[in-house]
Amino acid sequence: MTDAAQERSIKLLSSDNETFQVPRNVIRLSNTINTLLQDLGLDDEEDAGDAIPVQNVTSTILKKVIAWCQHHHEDPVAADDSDSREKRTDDISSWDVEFLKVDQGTLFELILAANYLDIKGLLDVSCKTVANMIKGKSPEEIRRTFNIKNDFTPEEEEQIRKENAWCED
Amino acid sequence: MMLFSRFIGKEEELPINKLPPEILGIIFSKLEYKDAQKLKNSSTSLLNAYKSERRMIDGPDCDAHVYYKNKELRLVITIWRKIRWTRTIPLNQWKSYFQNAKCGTFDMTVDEEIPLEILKNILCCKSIRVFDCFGKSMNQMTIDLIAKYQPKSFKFIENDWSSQMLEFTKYSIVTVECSKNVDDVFEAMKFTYNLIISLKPESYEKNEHSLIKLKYNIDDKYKPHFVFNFARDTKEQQVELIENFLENSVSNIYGAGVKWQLINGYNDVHLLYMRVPNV
Repeated sequence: MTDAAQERSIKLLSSDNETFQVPRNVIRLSNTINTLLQDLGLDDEEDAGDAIPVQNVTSTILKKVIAWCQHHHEDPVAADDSDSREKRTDDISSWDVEFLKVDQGTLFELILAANYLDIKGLLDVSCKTVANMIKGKSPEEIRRTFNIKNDFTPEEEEQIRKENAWCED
Repeated sequence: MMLFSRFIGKEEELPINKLPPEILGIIFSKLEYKDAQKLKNSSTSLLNAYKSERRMIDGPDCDAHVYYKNKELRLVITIWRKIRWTRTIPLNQWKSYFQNAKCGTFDMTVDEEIPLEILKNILCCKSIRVFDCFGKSMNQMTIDLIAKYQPKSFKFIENDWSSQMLEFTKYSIVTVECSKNVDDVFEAMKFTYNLIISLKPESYEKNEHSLIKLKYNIDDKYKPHFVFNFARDTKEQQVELIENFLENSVSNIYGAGVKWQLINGYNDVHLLYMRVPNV
């Protein structure tokens, strides 16, 4: 990407037809948008023209995704991509903690949007947030937290209870 | 993904057990084994998602495969079993692809005999750490090239093992894939440098205690794979059992004096051991 390309803006169109003007160097965090611009040969164009439809994401969620990218677009690329880092969930920045203090529906929608737009950092931190909501809870507490219906038969539940016995502290 | 797209940003609540499997796979991967067990046991859909994604969770999160077929190179990136993109790489550009790639490991699959000039350049690329190669294409010139460029690791498909492999083990981590019969597995194991030990409490059967079950996962495409049932052992007991096993039982296969080093916990249920090379 050239310097000129970095400085220009990209237009994104949400599923409910709201257009967002986003600096190219901010939306570079989305691999989906990057690949699209590169494959269409638009990355070095002065004017990318029409807005790119992000048909799977509504304006409410897209606004939040852009806000996240805006805050993180100058972050250094994480060097350590090891398994242990993948497992850590206690390394969420305070900004991200505040950012992700949303209702569960919004959190899951953000995860889906991050997955669709292939924004690794956002996907990672939002899945970590969900993982933190699960850690240390029993299956029953997990059901209560996420409003999951227990659809096991009593026999299956007994079997699960036995299987789970080893991991009860 | 499309199935769930209608949910994004809409008013409806999106329950966790309705998330697509690839997302659940990521969430499972961020949980310690115990917590993952509890999540999967909270509903049948989560249990099914866990089972279907299990291979994915246990395996690498990103596969980069390079195919040489019909006289062209194709690069396919797969993340969480989902193919993200695939493209043909012009022969004059592929080198920069590999050298600039952030992804650490490429698997190279050769569907037809690869021209030696291309093979030479691939072997020079440090981003290719695993190199699949079919024995049929291993002519003497190919062997000479591998010996010259010494890739860090090298993977053979079944029935490829030969005395030549012993040469390669001097500088490469050699792993062998095998799928047919137990004799082949034993033969291949003599050459392999990786050993995976699985701790499988969920397969624990009633009244079994500290029983070591060994199986060579012939159908799983990877490596000698020993399954331990460790449901009621302390960490210390587990370590002792594994060390005894490596020193005694495994030496029957590899010969006495072979040392194994724990590289890292492959994940919560897999331990990856690497053979210490005989220098």
